[in-house]
Amino acid sequence: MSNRWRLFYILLLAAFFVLLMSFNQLWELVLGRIFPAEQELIYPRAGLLQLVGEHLLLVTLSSLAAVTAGAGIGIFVTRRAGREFLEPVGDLTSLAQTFPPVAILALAVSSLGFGWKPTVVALFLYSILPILRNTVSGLEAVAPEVLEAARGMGMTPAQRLVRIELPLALPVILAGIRISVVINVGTATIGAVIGAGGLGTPIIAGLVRENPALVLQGALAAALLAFSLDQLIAQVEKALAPAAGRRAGR
Amino acid sequence: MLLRPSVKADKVLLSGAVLGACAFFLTFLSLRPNRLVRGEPYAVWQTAAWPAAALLALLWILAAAAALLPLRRERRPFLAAAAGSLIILCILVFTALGGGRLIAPEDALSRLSLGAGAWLMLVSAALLLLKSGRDLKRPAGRLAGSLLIAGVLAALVLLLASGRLNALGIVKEYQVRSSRFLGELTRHLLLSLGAVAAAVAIGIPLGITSYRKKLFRRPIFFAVNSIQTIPSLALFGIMIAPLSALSRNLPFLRALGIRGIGWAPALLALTLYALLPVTRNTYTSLDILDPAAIEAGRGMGMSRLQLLFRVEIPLSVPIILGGVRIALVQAIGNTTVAALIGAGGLGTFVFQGLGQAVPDLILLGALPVIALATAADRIMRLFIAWITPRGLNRREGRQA
Amino acid sequence: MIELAGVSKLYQDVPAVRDLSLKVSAGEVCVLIGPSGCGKSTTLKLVNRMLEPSSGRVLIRGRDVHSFRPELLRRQIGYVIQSIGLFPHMTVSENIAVVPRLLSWPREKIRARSEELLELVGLKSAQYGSKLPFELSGGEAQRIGVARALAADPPILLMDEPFGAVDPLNRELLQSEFARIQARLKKTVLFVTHDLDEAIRLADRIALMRDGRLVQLDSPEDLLAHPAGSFVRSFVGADRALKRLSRFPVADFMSPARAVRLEEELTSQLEAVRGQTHFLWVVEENRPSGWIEVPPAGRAMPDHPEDLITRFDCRELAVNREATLRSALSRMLGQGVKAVPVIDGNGQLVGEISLKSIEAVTEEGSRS
Repeated sequence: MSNRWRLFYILLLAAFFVLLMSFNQLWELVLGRIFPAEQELIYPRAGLLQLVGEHLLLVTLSSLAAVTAGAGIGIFVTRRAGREFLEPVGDLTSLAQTFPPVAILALAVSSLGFGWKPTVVALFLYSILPILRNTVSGLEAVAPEVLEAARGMGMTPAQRLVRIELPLALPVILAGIRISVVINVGTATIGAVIGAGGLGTPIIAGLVRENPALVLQGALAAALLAFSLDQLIAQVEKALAPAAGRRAGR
Repeated sequence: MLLRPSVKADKVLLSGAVLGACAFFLTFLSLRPNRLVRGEPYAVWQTAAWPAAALLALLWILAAAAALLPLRRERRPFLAAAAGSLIILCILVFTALGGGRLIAPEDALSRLSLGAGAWLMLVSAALLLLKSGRDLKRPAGRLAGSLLIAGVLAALVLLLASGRLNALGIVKEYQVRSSRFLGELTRHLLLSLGAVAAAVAIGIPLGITSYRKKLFRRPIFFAVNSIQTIPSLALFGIMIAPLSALSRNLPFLRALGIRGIGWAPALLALTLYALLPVTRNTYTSLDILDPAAIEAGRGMGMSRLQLLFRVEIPLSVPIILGGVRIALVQAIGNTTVAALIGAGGLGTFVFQGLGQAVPDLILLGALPVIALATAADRIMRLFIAWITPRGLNRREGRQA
Repeated sequence: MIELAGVSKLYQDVPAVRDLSLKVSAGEVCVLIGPSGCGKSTTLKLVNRMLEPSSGRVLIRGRDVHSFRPELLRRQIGYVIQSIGLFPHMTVSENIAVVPRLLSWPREKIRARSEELLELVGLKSAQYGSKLPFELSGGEAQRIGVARALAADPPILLMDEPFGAVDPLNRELLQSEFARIQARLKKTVLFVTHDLDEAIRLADRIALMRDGRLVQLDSPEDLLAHPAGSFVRSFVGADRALKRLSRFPVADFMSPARAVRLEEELTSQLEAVRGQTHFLWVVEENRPSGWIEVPPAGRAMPDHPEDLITRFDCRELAVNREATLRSALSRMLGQGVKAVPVIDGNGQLVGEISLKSIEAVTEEGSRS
């Protein structure tokens, strides 16, 4: 698929998504059919679009910070100065990855209290992991002869990093970002329990009031959001793939 | 401190030591008069007698020294491991003693929690142990290291069992609901294991199909990948409607305990989540199977069944089990969220704690989940290593 | 141009290079050769400071290389390695343009230079410019590697077994290409190889190394004619006369080919050369496909002269004009013939080479 089509697909997806989220009557209609017994079919206190906005804000803030931190640490441990930290950081990452995101969220709350701040912190901490791991593996996968040629041609270490290593590692790093964002959306949904807002709010409200229509409204919207973001980043990955030339060397 | 050029300072150990030393000055324990109120901070030297506090400080300096001094071979990691273990021991003991010193014996409501300083020191000590564990190469050193860690764990168990750590808020929360705890723990494990078992039963055939019939590969992987992107809470929520409809209309399902909320939608959703790692790894294990080995086997006169049991299965099992490992760890984590839809499990305590704003209750749910997930991961890895035929490049398939 | 003065390189007290002194004049191709582990690659890397010497000095144009910043030094030296190391995410043109961009050349100049260099290494710039490395064959990739090294027109070229990863057929072609390019550009080249035939073919002077020391430094003829000591003798091997033949391209020693064209009437062509020669090559569309026996003057011309044709597979018998006398000789011996046709890149007959002409060369060599 050429890049022009990709862009078209992404824009179409985004437009469709926004339209769907603002089309309250459609939700009421469909949910009314599924749950004829329920009185309250959609979340009254905030429109879906607003909830999506809150959700995206949580995810964007934490993801941007996580990309900076994750890529930064990843670059550091693959440089000569940070080489000693490569193994321990790898071990720590593997270990931390077995922790469920909910637990991190819970721990954040027990130290930082309620609201969106501990949610963002927990999201940030957890989403560093896939980005860090993929940055490291992406950078390590660059063929050594490519690096030798770059060095032999007179590139400074900084030039090597920016012009050769990062472009070649980019597809892998982006894959890590994609994983990280999807997990983020999932964890942010649970953040509604601690008052962070977002698409988890109607789900929790529905569970509390025993109103399955609300639950389904929030759940479907959250699922759609996650899926759309996953597709978006996947398209960006594919768009950048030929530029990095298949694998980074052989 | 002079350094010989051939033995450089260990930056990782040094970072751990510095971090721990800084954490020494932060809040060690926090004292709450009851469950709900915010705690009062206490530093190390306020918790323990000053010689003991000085000992802890000295241990950090020892760790830093181990990092900087040009020690030979195994001495540095051993010293760091010893320092790390002793530090953890101190923290445990000080916590136990702190209970006695800071809380009056008849005061049943007051409780302690570990403060940021204590947690950070524990993390730093763990870092020291992690790094020295990697650096200890010789069997004598590794044995000594394992003994140290075993000693620390034994101390923890002893302290807990003897009731010395009862002043901790988390212990108090446990004591109030100890029978319930066991029940939820069991339920948690049953849900996770059940989901993974179901995922294995569905996922392996799915993986085989996606390999054998190329036509199905794309749709199958699209489906399992898409499921994976759905937020866990959302998937649980989506399962409620169909299951409650089924349960309403089919009384025998109701009799089995299947309802719109509860364990049924949770199990269904958890199984769906566990499908991706299992399916993907099954596919990969078949994909990387060296066709030359199969051809050689057939050329030697192996029957299809012999080929399956003597070549294909031994080669693919480690990879598939790798997928099961990932699925299990994820399932343990996801089951925590299932508590929100009434499925029970350790998440119950997490969300109760969140609802009541009692951090210790949150920890009562969260820490065991972390421990379970980590233990499951370790055990699976050991098991996989044990059954992997020697000479096989252990490739468990990479994580998503 | 390049001077190594008493240079040593130690790895943890183990010497890889010991007290090496070597001068390479401007425009000279100096080949470093020796058994593996002799320190030839290490020596090469000391010149562009990929490795730092433990003692001694490395000078370029009289200036110590240490007086430059390593990156700036390397931008003035072309560096070609065995595994090539083309940047996979850049097109061929972009790969070639790397050093000029580091030197901030204007865009138009870079583009023109890219095209120029692709033509120089024998690849069409319109076709190859926007290709990506994974689309290239081994030989093509290696040529791009050389083009990339020459991009900023450096006076010095360092080559570390550049043709090692290529199959023998392509290697010969690449060696010819290199010889042709060098004849045109006259760069100062320090070349590392383990292949003595390659060294003999390409070098102005050969530096034979062993255990980190320079054992003999001489022109290929002198090295073959007067090996200094038993090691050199055994390294060069007993077939010195044969090895000399690697230096000479077939094109310089071939004679005009006498052939009959299958498209025309055979009898008249045969009549024309009766008595002058006893066989002729047979060509179809100027491509050799066999040989024909010419009946001697006394005998009658057969009714069907086609019966006198013996066909052969051109690929098995003919040699390329760029090939060496050595491969021509080996072809003759392998096929049991005393002459083979010489073809150009398109398979067209351009001459013939005979055993006699090769013998003349070896005799000349043994006389000197």
